Amino acid sequence: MKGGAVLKKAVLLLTTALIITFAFNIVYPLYMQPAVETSTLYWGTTGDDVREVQRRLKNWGYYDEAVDGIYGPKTFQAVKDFQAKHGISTTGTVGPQTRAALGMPTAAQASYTSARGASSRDNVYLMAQAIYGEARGESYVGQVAVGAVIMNRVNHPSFPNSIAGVIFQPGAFTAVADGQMFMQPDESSMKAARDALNGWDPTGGAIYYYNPAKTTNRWIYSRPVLKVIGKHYFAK
Amino acid sequence: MNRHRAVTLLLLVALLATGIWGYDQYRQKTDYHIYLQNQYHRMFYELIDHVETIEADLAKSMVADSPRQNLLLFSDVWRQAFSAQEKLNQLPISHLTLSNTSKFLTQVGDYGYSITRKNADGTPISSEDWSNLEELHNYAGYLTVELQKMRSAIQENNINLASLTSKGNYIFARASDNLPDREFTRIEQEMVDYPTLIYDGPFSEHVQGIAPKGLTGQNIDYGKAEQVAREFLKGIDIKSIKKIGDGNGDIKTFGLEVQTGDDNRIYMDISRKGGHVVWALNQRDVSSVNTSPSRATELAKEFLEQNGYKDMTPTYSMRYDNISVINFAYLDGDVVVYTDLIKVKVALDNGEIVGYEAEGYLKAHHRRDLPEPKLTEDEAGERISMRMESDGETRLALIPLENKAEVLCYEFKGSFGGDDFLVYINALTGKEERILKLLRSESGTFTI
Repeated sequence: MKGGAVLKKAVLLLTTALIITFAFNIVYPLYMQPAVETSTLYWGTTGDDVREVQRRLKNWGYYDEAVDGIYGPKTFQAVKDFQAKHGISTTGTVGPQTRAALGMPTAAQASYTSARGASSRDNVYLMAQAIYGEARGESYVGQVAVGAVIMNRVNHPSFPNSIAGVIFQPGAFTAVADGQMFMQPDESSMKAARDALNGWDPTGGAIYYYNPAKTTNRWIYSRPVLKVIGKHYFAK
Repeated sequence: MNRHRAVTLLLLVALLATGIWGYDQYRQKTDYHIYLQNQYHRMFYELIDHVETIEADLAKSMVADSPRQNLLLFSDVWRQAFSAQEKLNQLPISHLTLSNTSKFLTQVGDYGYSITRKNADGTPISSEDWSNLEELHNYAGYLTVELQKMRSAIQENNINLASLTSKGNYIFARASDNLPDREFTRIEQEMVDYPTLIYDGPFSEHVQGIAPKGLTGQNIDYGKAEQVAREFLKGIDIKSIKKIGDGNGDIKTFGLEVQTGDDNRIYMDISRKGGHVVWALNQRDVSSVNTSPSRATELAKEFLEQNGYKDMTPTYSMRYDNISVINFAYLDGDVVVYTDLIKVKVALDNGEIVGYEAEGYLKAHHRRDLPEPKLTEDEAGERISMRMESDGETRLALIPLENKAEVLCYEFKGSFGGDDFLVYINALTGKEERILKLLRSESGTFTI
């Protein structure tokens, strides 16, 4: 029966370990909650918190003495003025309510993290691909013009509202339909894309363009032509 | 004899291999085709759902009477219309057959958004709005019914929307296959006549065709345009100037191509009225950097002054391809006018001006009688969120709203959690008009 005793012992040990772990997990967070600064500030208090109050009051014009971190008579008066203006009882001390009104942390706040470098709204490459696919034989200004048409479409109610939406609209651009746009754009297309995105519009507001030598669509000829650049007619 | 047999065998194997390969290709093609078909059908069905909801929301808005309910309904119209427009434009149907329907959806959504904004400002919906909404509802109703009909036709005839993309496929095409195209063309003709909408949104009809305000002076002929170009390009060795296409956009222009001594090309457009340079682009590559960005800004400012634009202030700049692009805004007294914009490109190798764009300025600039602010800077400052830490840089600015109306605001610069923001407080009403987030990247500072 020796084996049974060992098993019993092991089960007991394991259970105890489990209970301890469990209890610890419950108790530990209670003690380790982030320290929350909620002490009341009053005449005579010094420190960074007071400095913060003074800085904020000064920004909003309630206080015009030095931001020195010492809760003196001027700070007292400024706090009272601030409280009066914000409908808080004018105690002259900074409690939770005044803290909140001042926009200072009162309890643990979710921390905001800046998404630095996450987005630069960079559609340059996509635009350059479309320009390269559609107008690589054209002059530089003809390339910028194709980019400008894409931009004008984005801002026009009859077309999709994003650069990708306009470029990938079925049937809108031949170079997209036959996959030619998925080539590596050259230097000139990249430059043209940047200029178009920055607002250079050589077409004067065109939303269509066509090459009369290649177009069989008769409807497009009815559109008023705004500008001819190279082989392309730019129309509205 | 034996050899003959070997060749036959080889050919048989080759045939078999080709067959297997062909079948595999066919199977793959079918897979892609079905995948595409599913996508298109999903978009078509969702489009119908969205349009049905728009119709229902607009109908409900007729009997809704609280700002709260209006807010819910019109923000839903906005959302549904946006999705509908997006889906419509991904269907494999020529844009030309969708143009009006697409415009209708954009404007319904935009209109809905403008009404939610009115609601937020506490402005009641005007009787003009109501009659527009009634009309829009009727068109939404028409569109719903037609799309539903089209849906049953597609289901009954088992039409494959993906087959619309294979243009050359005449042999296997059935007459019913172009039903969607035909139907949309018919719908399109009906969608022409919906009312011209004037409201405060970016797609409002009045925003689309604003006449340029900044074109001053007499009409010029081409000879004079060439003179303007030479003056503008002072300091550059010009070999020849050629007339290229005329521009017939909102600003009527002469187009010029300038060939320089070092065999570069500069393109520019000069307005017929007044002979203003609208834009210019020098395509030359810039391969080195010898000029600091701050010096580039100085050079750009000097260039503008030489060309008669004296009261311009730099607002932001970008740097790429060894070029600095500096954005200038007009300064009316101490008010920055963000509608009257000129961009100048400076090559950082020798500080030459290689690009210029003044369309914004020429379209918007005019003599304004700016109102006196009703709020002091401090009063406006109190309207700023307490979460933002102001960095004390404040100035007056005239900013364009979405409907191109101009409002006088205080511009506050500040930060929150490491991000920088510009907050605009209306100097007359104290309304928080706009918040911009500054994006700092290697190439410069942008706003979104």
